[in-house]
Amino acid sequence: MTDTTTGCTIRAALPADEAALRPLLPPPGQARSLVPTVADEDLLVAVRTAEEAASSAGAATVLGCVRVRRGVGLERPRYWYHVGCAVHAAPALDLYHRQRTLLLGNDLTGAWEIADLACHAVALDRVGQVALLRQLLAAALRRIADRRAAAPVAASDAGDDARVICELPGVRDAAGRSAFWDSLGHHFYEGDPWLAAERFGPAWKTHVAALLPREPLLVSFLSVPAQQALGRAAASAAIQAEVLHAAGLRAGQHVTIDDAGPVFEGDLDR
Amino acid sequence: MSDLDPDPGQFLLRPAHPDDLPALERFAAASAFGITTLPPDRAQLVERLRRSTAAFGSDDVASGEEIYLFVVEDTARGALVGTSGIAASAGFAERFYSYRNEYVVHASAELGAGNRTHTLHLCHDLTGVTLLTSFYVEPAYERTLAPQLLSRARLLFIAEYPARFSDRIAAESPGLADDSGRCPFWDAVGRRFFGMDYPAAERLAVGRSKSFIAELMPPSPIYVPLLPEEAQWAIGQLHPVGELPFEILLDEGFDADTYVDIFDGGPTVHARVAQLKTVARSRRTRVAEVDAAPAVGRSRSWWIVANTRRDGFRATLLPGPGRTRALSLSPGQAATLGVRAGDEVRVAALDALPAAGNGGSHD
Repeated sequence: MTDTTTGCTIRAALPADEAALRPLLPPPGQARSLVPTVADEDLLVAVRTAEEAASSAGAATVLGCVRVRRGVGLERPRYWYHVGCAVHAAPALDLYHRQRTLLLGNDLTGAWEIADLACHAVALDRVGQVALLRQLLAAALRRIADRRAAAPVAASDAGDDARVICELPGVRDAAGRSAFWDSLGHHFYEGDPWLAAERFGPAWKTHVAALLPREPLLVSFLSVPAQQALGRAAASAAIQAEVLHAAGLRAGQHVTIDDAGPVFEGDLDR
Repeated sequence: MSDLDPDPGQFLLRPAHPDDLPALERFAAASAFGITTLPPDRAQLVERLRRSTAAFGSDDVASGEEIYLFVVEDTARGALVGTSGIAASAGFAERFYSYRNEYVVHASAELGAGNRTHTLHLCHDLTGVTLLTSFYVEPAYERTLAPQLLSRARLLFIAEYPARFSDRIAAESPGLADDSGRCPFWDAVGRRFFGMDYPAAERLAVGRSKSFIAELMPPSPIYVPLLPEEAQWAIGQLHPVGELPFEILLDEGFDADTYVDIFDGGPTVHARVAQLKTVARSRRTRVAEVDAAPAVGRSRSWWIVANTRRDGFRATLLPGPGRTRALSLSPGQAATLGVRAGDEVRVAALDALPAAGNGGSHD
């Protein structure tokens, strides 16, 4: 299925694509391989149609990729912060204070997850990146629709199964530090969070959540840069945010627990 | 005034009378910082004296609303040198708020990491317990035994009338703040919900219940590592003006590690009444004779001796009696206590001895 704008075809990743995927994605961590080996996960890759036709399968240059997972958090608990609001008001004292709150939870469990939406920034200009990521995202959503049609879930799980989420990385400074992590997570886990994230892959969020506060937190207790980082995507993920928005997904009331990156949500039945 | 060296036997603790208003006003003005139960406001002091007089005078079953105000008189000078109080039931009809120190332990085997996190939980644990309040002693008397009598003799009153009080007891102490009222704990916590500095919030609280203010605080626990270091350090720290009464309470056996004040982070000590040193040591005995010669010279140890009356409650310090001897009083001592031979008194040994020096203090 060639896209005339990008000149690329989307297909399932093959074991032979592993090397070509490495520059695009963070290391696979404990999964050991970027190409999925489990049944409820797909990794789709974008390759140039012409190049693909001319070469044997798996030898083409991989220009982009996207991963689809069913039932996030069902295998191992996944955590997010829910960004809520608490009002402290005393009309008699003329006091009214609205506070943002963070509450650790598994709210988005059972949703579909789109992850690893990435493309070669060097090989493509901005317009080309947008086009390719759109093509990848559309293919991912089609893949989800096909899988849902092929294997419907029980009615009791239908609500969660109709939701798709996509986490984006949060704001970092030039040195790669996250003000949000430094202001919150750092007090509960002293290790390097990004090394741990590389080592454990998605399981990192399960492990670190075991160390984080269980009770609601007031955002005003965090540093000002940390408050400003809440729900903001890294500059490097600006195109992904744009593409997700164009596809109808919106940043909702949740953020990631390490760097407070936004979690885009969409309704698959709409 | 470091030359002040009164005989401890000349101190008399008694209920405050309406006539004591000028002295209480003087104490309240001198202790304007940190004692909300001793407000520098005549109308409020008059009201407190009225309530205290009613509480001492009432035969009724205690409602918990009672406050009892005491004063210590230097009978040799005929002057009041300090005051202390008891609130029968903290919060009375309302909730009495504190932060309770708790430690939450989390671990991740996979990350090979764990933590022990100090948290502060907003609680009502101390609602209804008896509160020691309003402690003030004139700086010149700080190193005498007057503060000992002021603080501990009220425990003999509680021991004598347990039905009027809770079997649990607490006392608040002022937390860290500078002379301008800047308070690191308040700035890190309360200020977020009130948007004003501590003195402004205290002014706002005047005439309103503390629980009304507390209900604006967030119900979820505070994770202490998220506070600025200066505020973390202030948790459970005592303002220097509170040191003397605080030390007496610690010596009595109060626990200072569990609760802190929700506004300034100062320690709120608590205990079981029966386990306090003075209460546990106290016993009733009978006055055997009232014709003993006054003690000559300085005793090596002192006892707190109180009569057993409610309205006419009186307590003073006597040289420690011998182990087996019945209590003998000089006519002067008997007059101070308002007792005669054959009357019962409550006595408790005091460990403290007078020392030289001076300063100012509060609770």
